[in-house]
Amino acid sequence: MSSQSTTRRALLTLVLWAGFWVLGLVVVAALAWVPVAESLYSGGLGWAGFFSAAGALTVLWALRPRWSFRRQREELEYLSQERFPALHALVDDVARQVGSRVPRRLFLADQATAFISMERRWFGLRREAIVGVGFPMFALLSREELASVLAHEFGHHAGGDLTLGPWVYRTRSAIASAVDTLEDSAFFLDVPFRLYGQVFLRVSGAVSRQQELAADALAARTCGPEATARALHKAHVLAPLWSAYLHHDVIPIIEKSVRIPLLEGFRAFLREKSWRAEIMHDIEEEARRPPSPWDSHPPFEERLRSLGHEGPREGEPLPLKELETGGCIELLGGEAHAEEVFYEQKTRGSLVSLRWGELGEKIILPEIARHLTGGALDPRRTPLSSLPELLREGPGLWDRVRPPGLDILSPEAKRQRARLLLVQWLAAVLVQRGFVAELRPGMHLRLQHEGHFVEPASVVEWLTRGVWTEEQYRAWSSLIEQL
Amino acid sequence: MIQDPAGLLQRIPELKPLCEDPGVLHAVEHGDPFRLYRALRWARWLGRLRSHRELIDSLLRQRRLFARPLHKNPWLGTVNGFGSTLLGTAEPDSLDGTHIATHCVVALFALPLLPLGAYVVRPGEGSGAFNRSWTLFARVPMGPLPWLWSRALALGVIVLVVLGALQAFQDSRSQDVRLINGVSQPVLVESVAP
Repeated sequence: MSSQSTTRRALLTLVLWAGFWVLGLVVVAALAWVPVAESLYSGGLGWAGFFSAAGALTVLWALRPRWSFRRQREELEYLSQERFPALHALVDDVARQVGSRVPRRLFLADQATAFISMERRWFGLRREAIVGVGFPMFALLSREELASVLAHEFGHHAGGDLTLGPWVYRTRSAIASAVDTLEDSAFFLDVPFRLYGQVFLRVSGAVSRQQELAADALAARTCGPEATARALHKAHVLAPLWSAYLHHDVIPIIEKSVRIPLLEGFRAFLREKSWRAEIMHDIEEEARRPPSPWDSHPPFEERLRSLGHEGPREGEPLPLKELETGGCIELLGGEAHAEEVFYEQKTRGSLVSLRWGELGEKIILPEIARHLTGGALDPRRTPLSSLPELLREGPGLWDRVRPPGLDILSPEAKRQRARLLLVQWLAAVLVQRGFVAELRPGMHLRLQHEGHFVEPASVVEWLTRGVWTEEQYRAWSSLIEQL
Repeated sequence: MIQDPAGLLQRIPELKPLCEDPGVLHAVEHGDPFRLYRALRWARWLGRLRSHRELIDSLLRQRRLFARPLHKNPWLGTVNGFGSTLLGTAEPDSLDGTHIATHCVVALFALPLLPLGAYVVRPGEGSGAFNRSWTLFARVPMGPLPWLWSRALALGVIVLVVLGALQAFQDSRSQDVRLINGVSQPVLVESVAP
């Protein structure tokens, strides 16, 4: 990385930072000039001067520095050298190869990503790098690929990006705070700062993308372009899948104070041919997202091209070899120990440890029963054949059974909640008829009895979309009653 | 994946196709229901999202969907008929007895001068014409008329400031000289530029 380009980027960042404050002061000065000029030249303060002075004070208030007392990383748990010697050895080795200082601390992140940032110590006099690596990266990447990810992060350190980063962050925060404070003022005082913010994001985004390409180049020089390209490819393809699995399946279960095997669940999630509609929607949306001039990272294809590689071909299978063989999870002491560390660091309170297969019977169904029993949809009092009539109620059903409180849901939201409630009700009714529940990652709750499999969510959807007529449903329900 | 920190897409799933508009998407990702309401209102006025016009109209008619929690209660009270109060009973809900009222600066107890905000409220028990009380539940965006009114007032203030600034600038560039002639002879006064 040339020192000339680093200097140019540093200069540009400083100009952008100074530009914001100059703009703020110009706006304040222009507004404050009116009352002063009125007093000096027009014989006294008029209404215009009064309002203008109020505007100047409002802008000054919006520009005031905000000191946030964020939780120090010192308080967060980190991956200590004593407990994870192999990981520290790898990190130290890569740092030395890149010519960067060894980071002070290593953190475990929950997403398929990695980061490096600066930690201030001794009242800001001493700044030390800290590195974070996402938990799934250890399972998805080989040791060589993980080294290239680390080399990329150290590239930001070596390239001086971490020195510029706080300036960009501070300017971005100052602009956002100013716009937030002024946008309710009703006097369009936010307009100049909003316009400057757009220019700032565009320019700082372009600088950030250059920094990413430079860090990629350094990673390729250190660990080889092959390993770097493979790591990029895996992170690009698998990160959205991990994110969807984490948000739609894992976090809702952890919120019920339950601990499940993460990587075993992710492998099962990836084995499914398709997922629940909301998961599919999120994954497809992420894949379709067009590049934006405000992006901090260049498009994946551009990053691969800069390493002399082509993107993956259409229909190419997912790169899952490492996930099946364990990747470099031994750096965290093996799969079981790694998950232990994940739950230790990312959750609070005691969790009950369960297998995926146990979740339906032990958690989901008792919760549904608690929710419905004694209410308007008590499964003991509502016959299985009544589903079509209940569905016809639409949003009205939700209004009938909803908990007390302010009604702020749209008709479609009410319809969706009513359908969800009916899915739960159908599951509870089927359990009363001897069905047993099973839950697979990424899939709807499924119930089975004597070789008959039923997905309540699918039944409700078929009826809603007209795939099943009411007569077909009634025929099916009478068959179920006879089981 | 659309970031939805305030759960707006869960509250209003109809918004998903409207997120093709950058203003709507930005408002959802910002998690601000008032900004979202304004984005939809501007999209409607500027003729964007034409194919979703009916949907937008129906959403804009239900301001409760854009409710924001109360951080503090607004000041309510009048002195000699001047002060601020809650006026109007828009979008009544017969199930919970609430409606939307506009918080206004008033003259003569009920003559609105400046709208300040709108709230979902329920009149207190025993509330009457001379003894009014409310329970406030949430803040909602102002309706189009009060909003336009407040914007027109803001625009008036901006025009006033601009005119005042121009006048002050003009005054700073020139000086009136008044001469009182105390003698019987006419006096000729000439201004010479420095």
